[in-house]
Amino acid sequence: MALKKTFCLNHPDRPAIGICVITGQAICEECSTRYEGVNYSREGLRILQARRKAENAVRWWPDRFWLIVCTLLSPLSVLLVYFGFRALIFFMGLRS
Amino acid sequence: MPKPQDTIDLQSNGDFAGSLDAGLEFIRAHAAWTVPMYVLAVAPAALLMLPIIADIAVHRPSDTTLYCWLLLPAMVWRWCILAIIQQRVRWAVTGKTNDHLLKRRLFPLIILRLTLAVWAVWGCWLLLVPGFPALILGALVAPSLLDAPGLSFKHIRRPLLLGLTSGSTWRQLCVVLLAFVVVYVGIIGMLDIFADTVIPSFAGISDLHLQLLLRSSALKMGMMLFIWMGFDLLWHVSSVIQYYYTQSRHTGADIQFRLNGLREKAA
Repeated sequence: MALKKTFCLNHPDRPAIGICVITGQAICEECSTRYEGVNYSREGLRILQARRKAENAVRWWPDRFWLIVCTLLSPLSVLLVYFGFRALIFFMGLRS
Repeated sequence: MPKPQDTIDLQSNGDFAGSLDAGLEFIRAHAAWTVPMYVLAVAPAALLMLPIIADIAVHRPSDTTLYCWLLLPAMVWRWCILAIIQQRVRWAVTGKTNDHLLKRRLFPLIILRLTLAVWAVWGCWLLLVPGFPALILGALVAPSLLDAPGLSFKHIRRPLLLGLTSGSTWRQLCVVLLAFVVVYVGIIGMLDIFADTVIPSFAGISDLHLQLLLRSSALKMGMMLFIWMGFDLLWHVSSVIQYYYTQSRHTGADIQFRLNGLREKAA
């Protein structure tokens, strides 16, 4: 597949060496930042940083809701596992 | 950094050989610490299972109250040691030996595994569904928690669901369970043949006690427990490799999709 010769969006006189994986802009060597093996424009890097920050942001209550619920229910879980064992043992005892 | 022979390459020789093979190879290569650690993990539960099996065999299943209670901390102990083993396997797969997240993630790991244990124990009773998904998720909890950047549910949900919905994970579990059943049935069959034929005919003795012992349900249940231990270790080691295998496949498909999009844009 032949690619069209494209020029940098910020420097129209320079040939583009790649495309930003986030914004899709053609970028020259100066505008390109190679990160994790792929090219990013300045704007793309900013978007990536914002995305990563949002992804990794720890919001105690909504993010750990599952952990709080499971912890609060853990005594019930312990009882259920215990009675599960008893039921299993009882069943096996009757069958053996 | 681990030495080259200590690392696991998911794509070393063309097609990925399978996480079970890689897991078996890992256990063989690191038997010096994997086997003792696994024995340490299951020893309390196994020791508690012995009197329970004895009670079942003599039809006194109601005498097991104390042992059932003690089985719960023994299970927590097993989960903790298994998580340490899985962390070592993770180090071998990723090459990151400097992360020590396990201490911080141990509490959520125990809570998650306890919740999954409810599913595993009651799944077959109430839902008439064997605890296969709980077995898969239980083994994937440690790598998912250790790999997640945070404790958010969205960080853990995706890899767990990816492992659960992956056909290859189910195939691996089926292979493990099938191998377990084949080995168990084979050994029980051999014990029966030994009790029926070998002892009276070849040895020339008719030791009733020995025959009763070989035919007893206690011995069969004990053998089941003993055989399952080997497969349990294999499953927990392989599941870490399987976890990264499904992750890499997913990432590969994602990259392919993005590349196709970029190609279309460029064309």
